[in-house]
Amino acid sequence: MKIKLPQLSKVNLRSVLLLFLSALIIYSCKKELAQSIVQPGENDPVLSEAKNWFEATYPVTALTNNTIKPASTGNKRKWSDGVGPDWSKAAIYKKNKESIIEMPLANSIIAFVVNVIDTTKINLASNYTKTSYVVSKDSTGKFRSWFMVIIADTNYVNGNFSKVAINTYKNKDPNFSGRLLYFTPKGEFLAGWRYNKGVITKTISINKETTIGIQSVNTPKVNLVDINCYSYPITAVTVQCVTAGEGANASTTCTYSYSVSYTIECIATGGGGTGSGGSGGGGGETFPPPPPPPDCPPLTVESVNGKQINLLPGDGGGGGGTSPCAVPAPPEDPCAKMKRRKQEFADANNQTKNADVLAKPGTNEWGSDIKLNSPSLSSNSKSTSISGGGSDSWQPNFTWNDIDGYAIGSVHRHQAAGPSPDDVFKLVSNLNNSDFISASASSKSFYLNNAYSTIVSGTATYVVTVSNWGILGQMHDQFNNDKDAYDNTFLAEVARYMDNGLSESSASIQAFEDIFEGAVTLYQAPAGSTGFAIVGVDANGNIIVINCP
Amino acid sequence: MKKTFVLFALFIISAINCDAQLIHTRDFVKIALPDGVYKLSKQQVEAIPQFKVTNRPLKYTGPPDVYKTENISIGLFIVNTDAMNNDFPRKKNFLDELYSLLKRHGNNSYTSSIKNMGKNQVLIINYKINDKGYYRFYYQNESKTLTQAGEMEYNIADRSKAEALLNDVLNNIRFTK
Repeated sequence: MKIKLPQLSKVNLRSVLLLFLSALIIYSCKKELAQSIVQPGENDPVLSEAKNWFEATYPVTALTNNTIKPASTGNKRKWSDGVGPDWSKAAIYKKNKESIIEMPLANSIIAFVVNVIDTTKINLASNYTKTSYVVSKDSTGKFRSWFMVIIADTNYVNGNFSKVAINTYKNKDPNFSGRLLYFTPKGEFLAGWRYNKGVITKTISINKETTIGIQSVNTPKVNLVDINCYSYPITAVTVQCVTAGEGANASTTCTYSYSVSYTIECIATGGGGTGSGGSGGGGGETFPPPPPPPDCPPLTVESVNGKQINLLPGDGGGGGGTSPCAVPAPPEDPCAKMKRRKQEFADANNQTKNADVLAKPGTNEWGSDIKLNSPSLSSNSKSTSISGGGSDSWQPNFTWNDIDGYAIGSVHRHQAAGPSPDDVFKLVSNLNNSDFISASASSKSFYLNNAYSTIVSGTATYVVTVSNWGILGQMHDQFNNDKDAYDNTFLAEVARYMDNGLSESSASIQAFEDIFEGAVTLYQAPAGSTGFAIVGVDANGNIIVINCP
Repeated sequence: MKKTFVLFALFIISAINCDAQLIHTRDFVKIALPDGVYKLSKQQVEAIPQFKVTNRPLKYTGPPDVYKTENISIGLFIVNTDAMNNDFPRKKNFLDELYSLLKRHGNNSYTSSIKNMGKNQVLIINYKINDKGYYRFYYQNESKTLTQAGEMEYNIADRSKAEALLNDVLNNIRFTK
């Protein structure tokens, strides 16, 4: 595959030398990067999983000679049409607890040129742009992908085009000046920032986009009503080539697509920032992640026994999903769901286990893991012992293998308090278990759909299930930032609710729901009973207990 | 004339000093707060930055009256008259269990005690999170029917000041029922 770049005939000996030196620098930079990036093997499961997901979600229509039309006829292809990632050049690493795959484009070049919409004046030999694909897999197994476009400033490049290449999603040159734009694989704008010497100075949004053929329009930068905002045209040029025939008979045809977007760049408020984000993977400064996919609108408010609870989308989530907004299936009736889940967390084995844990002497925490012989609802329970947590708390022992069992849940005792943040976040930290990480997709899915945590106390039995792993994962990150401060917020909430007149159990449930509503589902039964009810919140955020028929 | 002026000045000064002492007044209680303590407005209270635990804003559950002096804040709740909140041994057990959560992450700073103050009792818990210290206190009348609850937050460096302030507040609680 060959890509012909225009105006290359002008190169002289000096340019060749410059090019050679640039190539040397690029090579040395690439070598340095390669040392800090785990290069995937052919059989890397994340890579193959990501590729399968990407190809199913964003199928790329390969170019053929039949689809190529000369630019002079007025090419109406969008700049992102027909472009795909080069999986053979993928770099995989961890960033912000996500698996990140960063790839160049396959058989394409995309250049973004600022403030030039006369396409005859665009010189692709001086490309200040680097366009790459990023695919991320978060801790819940959810994939998303975006184009990362770096448009370096001429002052920053200063004739050294290798400086553009050293900027990656993983590592940002601390002195980077230019623009960073994120687009979905369908070319829809996600976010953008203007950098000056490594610091974000402006935020960028897109005003409008037009797809054009070759034409000349003179549009200077426009000062908008807001004196802090300016609009610039950015022309995207996509070069895609197809080679037909072989050997001496091979002929390469390239198509050039042009589209113009009008960006709005506004001075960043709040003091800007360095754009550093995340940690791990070799340190250094990094570019920020794209904004999270927009929330899907709440699906419905379901009525249960005349009372209402809010149901958030993504219930029972996990696994793949598409961006930017996956529309989940209609939610299951809450009472039907509770009835289904009760068959697991309140079966005969669990009832006995709960009673045994509650009956332990003293005031220390006692608990037991609930394990299955296989990751299946039809699996028999594995025998597990009850252990004491000493003067501190009881800690579960999560395992996910055939020998030690599949720990789908746990039960432990509190004296009077309901579930705590730690009880919930254990369910998330289990996802980092090495056996779990290497488990099959169906095995992981079984955990994501069925995991629970039971807390027995002298007054009630509580069961927590996860209703949205995505939200809970974000909260888990906040928890890990400062566990003491996180717990203190919860503890203060409980104490304050008591100071405002609530009972111990009501105060702890109200505080719990204040924080975890939408991320987990809480079921509650009187102590020693299986008469579970759904604990929800009303429109004012007050606790309601919904008894199902 | 000079004598009259001096008397007038003394009157003004004493009036200003009287105004300086804030009296917290709610149903069943009056507390003469120490000099230098001032009340925060609702807007000021809501503007106090909170640790982010979720992407949704948490509703305000704090005390209805928040006061401040230097870097120490004091929050006072309404007086509790229910049996549960006036059962100090039960309350202490619950708080001890609840705050044992901090031990999970190696924070062993939590202490609690029930002390007599004359014929009244006070339950005090104290702990620290990072560079901040926290008191929660529950002051109960002799007949164990009324409890004034409150909370304090201070910089660890101001611990002795906070302790003195807490003693001042506790010594000035007067139940009016």
